[in-house]
Amino acid sequence: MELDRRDDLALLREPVRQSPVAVGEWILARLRGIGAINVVIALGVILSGQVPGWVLGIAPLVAVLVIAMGIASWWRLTFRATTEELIVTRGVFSRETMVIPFSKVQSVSIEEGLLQRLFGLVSASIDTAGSALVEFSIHGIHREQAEALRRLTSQAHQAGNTPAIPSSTLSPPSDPAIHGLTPPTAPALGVQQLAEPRTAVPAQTTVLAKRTPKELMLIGMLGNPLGGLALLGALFVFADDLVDLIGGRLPDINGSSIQPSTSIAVAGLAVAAAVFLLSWIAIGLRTVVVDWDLELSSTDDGLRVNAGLFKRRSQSSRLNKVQSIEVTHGPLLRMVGFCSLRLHTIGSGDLVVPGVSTQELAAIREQVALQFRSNIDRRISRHLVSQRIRVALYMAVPLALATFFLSRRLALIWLIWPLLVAIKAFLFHRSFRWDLAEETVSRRSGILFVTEISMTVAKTQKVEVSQSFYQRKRRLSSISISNAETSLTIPMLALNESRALRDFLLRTPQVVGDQTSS
Amino acid sequence: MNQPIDVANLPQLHDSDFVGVSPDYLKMAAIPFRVLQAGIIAATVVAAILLSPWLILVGLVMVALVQLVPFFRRLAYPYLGYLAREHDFSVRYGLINRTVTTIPFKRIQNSVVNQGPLERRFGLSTLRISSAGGSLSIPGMPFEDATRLRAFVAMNASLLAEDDTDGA
Repeated sequence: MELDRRDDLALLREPVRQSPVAVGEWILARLRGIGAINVVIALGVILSGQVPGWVLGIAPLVAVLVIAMGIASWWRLTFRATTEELIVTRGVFSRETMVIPFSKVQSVSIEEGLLQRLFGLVSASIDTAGSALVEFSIHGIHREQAEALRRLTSQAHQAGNTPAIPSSTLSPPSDPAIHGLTPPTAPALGVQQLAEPRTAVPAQTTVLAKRTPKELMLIGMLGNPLGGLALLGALFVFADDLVDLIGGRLPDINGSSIQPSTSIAVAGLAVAAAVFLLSWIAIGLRTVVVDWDLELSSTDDGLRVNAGLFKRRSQSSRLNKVQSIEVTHGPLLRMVGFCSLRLHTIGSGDLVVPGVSTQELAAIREQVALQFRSNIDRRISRHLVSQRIRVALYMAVPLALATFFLSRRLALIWLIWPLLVAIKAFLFHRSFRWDLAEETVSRRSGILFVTEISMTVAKTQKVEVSQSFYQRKRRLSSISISNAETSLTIPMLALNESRALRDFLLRTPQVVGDQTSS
Repeated sequence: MNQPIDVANLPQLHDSDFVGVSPDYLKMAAIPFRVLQAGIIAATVVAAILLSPWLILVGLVMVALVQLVPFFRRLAYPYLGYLAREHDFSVRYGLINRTVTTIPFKRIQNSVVNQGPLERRFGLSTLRISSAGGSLSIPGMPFEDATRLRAFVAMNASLLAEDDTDGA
């Protein structure tokens, strides 16, 4: 382990600059910020010749300024690592030096954008979990450097653990100071010598979940069927402009002689259906691309998610940073045997897998040591239903009375509302289950989309037991359990049950956790 | 192993153990509202003289409305309290919605004693304790008690704190 650390430090001891490719990445990021659709439209507008001359004149000037800014920020950004800290210097007009202790870095995510991949470069995103230091990314660095950062972070958290990398396969770097400025071939040679044994999969990696493109397509379409509409939404905002650009014409519906008729209605429905189908396929394809070759694995470093086609991301999180597990069973997704998984971890960068099978889920829970009894069956008080109906009635009845004198029909509509509330509350209450076992507290609820969330008891940060006036009269209460990232609320629990639950959560565990449990 | 446990035999957080805050708290908290009421009365008197005597009614209603906040605070006062145990700290508050919030010592990240100018005159302060998952605060505590409590909390927090491996 010491050998690895020295290699990592040797790699990063001297200030390292990003590869010049980072300038391209910076410009692309700015363009992405403006919005791909908007850029296309802007280009379209320019090309269609509707732009006055002087605007066309300053456009190249603006472009030059942007490129100059990009080059300046690239030149000014350097980073290096010491035993304890990562030091980043950046800033064009005002020089800023950030010193980040590795122990404060929660995770280092590695991403390969399409542009960077052409040059064999990656981006490293440093996540410091919301302290005064903001999460930031370093683009256009070598994979070796990014992996080194990741290892230094992981080692800073892992006091006495030695990763199982055989030291005999390592060779010392030929050039310890690897600058991004030198021509690509030279550092590549030096890096390759290190890269071979290092980027080989570390000794203990278990793949917990893996998705094929076909599965991803299904997951995208079934897991989020309406999501595609948002994707195509931007297109609709500019629909008429786009049609103008291509020289077409949309029928003018306002003030024309088109009579409403069944054929128009049918045509409208057909268009809507086509749009919906298109958006459905779009969201499916998007999932396939964004989560291409998704793999959730357990390594020495913790859990890792690798996914993405154009932009390959690698997010990792140590096991003990996982605060809670959230599983969502959608009605459609269930038909193909998948559910959606989110591992809440400290800081940003929750590990999200849009579709896991039940066996994979069991294996994942075991890894995270959040053993889960699938038959969670404690329930909450039925008063939940009557309380919600009451609240709805308190509002609906006065409104119904008020509108009664205007129109009887309207008054009736106001009374339908409590009925709907009653049905929804009844179904919600029927679906609600919670459970407390030695190490985990869990809750499952939901009418269409059933969500399960489970938390380790030992990670409790705050417990709140509250009683509203209605609850006080009936000796009921609500309990809310928060950990560093999420909170779990159980409403309408008997008061003595919430108190008992709180007392249990607060008791000091008899067996103080080993590294993986708390 | 993940056995169900018998909750009846766990140590309990009894309501009776809670300690109340200083009675001066009510007096101190009411002062800003008194000032506001004085201002309203002065404005009403001036307006009544200049414009119409009926405005006194409006003024009285406004004074009564402003009085509501200290009034409700007084009603909620008996329930307001805190409790420090070996391993955690709790605070209890509320009138219509009553809430007990507890933070375990090992999770405490920050503990602060705050004294505004008004609090200083009465010798009171506010104790604020926060963890990664939330915070709690107790107003109206006597300053010495608060400082001693804060020192106790901070000491226990660092003693019982988990090492950084859990990242919280």
